[in-house]
Amino acid sequence: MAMVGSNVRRSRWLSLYLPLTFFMVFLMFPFYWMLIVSLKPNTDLLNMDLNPFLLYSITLDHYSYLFTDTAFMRYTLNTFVVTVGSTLLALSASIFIGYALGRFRFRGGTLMGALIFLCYLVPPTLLFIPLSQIVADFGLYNTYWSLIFTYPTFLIPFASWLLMGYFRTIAIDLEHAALVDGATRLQAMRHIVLPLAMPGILSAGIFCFTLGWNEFLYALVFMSSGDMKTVPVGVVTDLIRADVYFWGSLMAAGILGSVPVAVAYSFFVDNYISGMTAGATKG
Amino acid sequence: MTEDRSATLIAEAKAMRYSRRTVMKRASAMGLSAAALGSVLTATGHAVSAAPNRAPALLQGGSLNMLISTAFVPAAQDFFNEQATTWGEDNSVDVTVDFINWPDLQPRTTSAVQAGAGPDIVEMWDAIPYLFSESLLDVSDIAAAAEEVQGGYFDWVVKSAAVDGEWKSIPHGNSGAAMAYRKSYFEQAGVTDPENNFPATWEELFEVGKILKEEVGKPLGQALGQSLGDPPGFCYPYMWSHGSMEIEEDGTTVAFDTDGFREGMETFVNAWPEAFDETGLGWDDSTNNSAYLSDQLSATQNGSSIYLAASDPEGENSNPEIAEDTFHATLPSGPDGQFAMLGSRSMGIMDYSPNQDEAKAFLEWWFSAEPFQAWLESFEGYILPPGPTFTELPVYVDDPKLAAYLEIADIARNKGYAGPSNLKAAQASSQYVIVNTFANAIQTGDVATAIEQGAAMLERIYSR
Repeated sequence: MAMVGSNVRRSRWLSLYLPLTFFMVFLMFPFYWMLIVSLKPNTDLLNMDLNPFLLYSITLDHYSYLFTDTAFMRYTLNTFVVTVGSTLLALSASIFIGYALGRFRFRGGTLMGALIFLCYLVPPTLLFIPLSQIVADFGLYNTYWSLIFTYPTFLIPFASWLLMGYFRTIAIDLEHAALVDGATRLQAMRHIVLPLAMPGILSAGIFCFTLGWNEFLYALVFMSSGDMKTVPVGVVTDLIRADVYFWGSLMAAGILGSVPVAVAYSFFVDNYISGMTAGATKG
Repeated sequence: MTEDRSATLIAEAKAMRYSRRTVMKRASAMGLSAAALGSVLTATGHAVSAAPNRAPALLQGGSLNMLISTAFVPAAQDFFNEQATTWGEDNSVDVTVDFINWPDLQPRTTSAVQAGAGPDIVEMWDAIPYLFSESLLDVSDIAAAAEEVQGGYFDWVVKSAAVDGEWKSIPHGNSGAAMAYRKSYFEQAGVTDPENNFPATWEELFEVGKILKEEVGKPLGQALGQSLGDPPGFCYPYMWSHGSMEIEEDGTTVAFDTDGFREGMETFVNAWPEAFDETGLGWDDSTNNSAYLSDQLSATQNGSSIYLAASDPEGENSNPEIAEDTFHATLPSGPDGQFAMLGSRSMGIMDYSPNQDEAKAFLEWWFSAEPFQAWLESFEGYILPPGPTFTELPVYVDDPKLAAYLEIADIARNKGYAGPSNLKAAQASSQYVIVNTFANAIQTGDVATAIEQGAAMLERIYSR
């Protein structure tokens, strides 16, 4: 019996914990690297006699520089406003688009779905040129609105496509039952479909938030004057001087800049799982 | 209050024997104006006045926004900002300066041109004035006045900043590239008096490099990734020194694939594993700086930023030991001569700007002798002036270790040589045709095919 138990444990280690450990190290290494570089004094950073993967002494100078010599807090606020605004706007539109394309059958529906996905494939490096004209015509340059309105150009196609697929997985009979019981189409959507689609909506929201938080090009060309910069643009502007990189502070900004995304993930992932469970047990 | 802070800084600088740059840094940290900084510099023996003496023009209530690339020397960036702000205050113009990482200048400018709105003055790198020539104001009058101040423009400036002979922007020079090397390591490799006897030819350098890598354990370092500064800074001069060029003077005949260049490339490819740090294929402009400053290299091609960064006692990369051991030499020569690549940066006024009078007034003032000299000095010799007038400034001649960077002006060629740095040269540069030829040759070992592919790409670009 002891041997059987030992084999089970070994098998569990080989099939579960070993791959899990490998993936965890693989995925966490960039964060570990950012953290130790952000905490190393410059003398250690450039000393190749020391093991680069270890910390020999700790300094908070890079974080101090980030907060005192750059407008990092303002950049973070800007990024938060822009990302939340554009994510809400994109999700609002995507829910209706995804519902219509996923639920109704109408002529050209499939083609429209494909075209929306194709929009996602248009590279921002091309799209920013005509968008510049529009942003200027509406007088939105260097305002939050310039990004809140332009980010959905890549968020909506992605979120719509994702939600379109999710709406199709929800049994249409539930909606029919609501309609038979006297609900209108909007009521059925609001009270029946949307709660069941919450995991999909949250997933789309997480992705929109992440894409918006990390976006660089539109933020660079539409909103980067004075303190109106997002984190990706601001840190590059302030912490790269020609061919000299302020690695410690750059990594500090990388670590701190990834915190909101990590928080969003951890928060929504919990909801995502509970939403899945609720959906499975209802009905 | 300002007087108190100035007095404090003067006393501090004298007691601590601050360098000019340190004085400027401290002044910036203490919030001193450019005028106050000028008086502090004078009092501490770093005599340069940055105070704008020009009488206020009739620009009341106007505004001016400038898009400028970030400066390697932080104090120089702060100094330009102070200059602009003080000029604005003196002339009742609301001046704002946006500093931006220099590879991002082009997309920002493209967007502004497309929208017809954005910064009034834009700093441009070489060949870029060609790209936006139709959206730039003709500034020949200001450029002519500035040329007088500069004592004429160097040939590399005219070829890289003028658009078909017209001035759409006003050149203000650029940083050059030379070989930064460790004297002690070259001595260990058997070079006698390396301070005055750096290998004169590429072949000699590669031979010493083999010893440096094999016996001293400090190889040569060369960035060959897709980056705008150091990779082309090496590849173009190496190509020219072996009788190859992108295009002949007629502007249509590609002269890239030559026997001399094939031989030279063969030599380089053979030397790469024996003399160079082989990870250089993936390096960008910053990697060789980091590698050199972390004592991994014996030599690398770079601007003076490595030395200046190591010399700065308060800098992020301060390293007095490496600074003392570092010397500079112009790039070695090949069978067809000795060359360096230089293209001038310039300031242009956008034609959509509603503040053209303010923009012109600022540039007229800034390119006049006193403010321009002060700005050059704030870079501590990192930026080469576009003409000979200021080449005798103490920042260029006081430190003999920086002398090589001035000599570059005499052997400099522009991208697109023997033609001008026009749109096609810009396209070849932005597609890294020359740099990729070197990288391909090393990766594949097939020199002939790499050069043929490079020549074919140049043919496509220049035949359009």
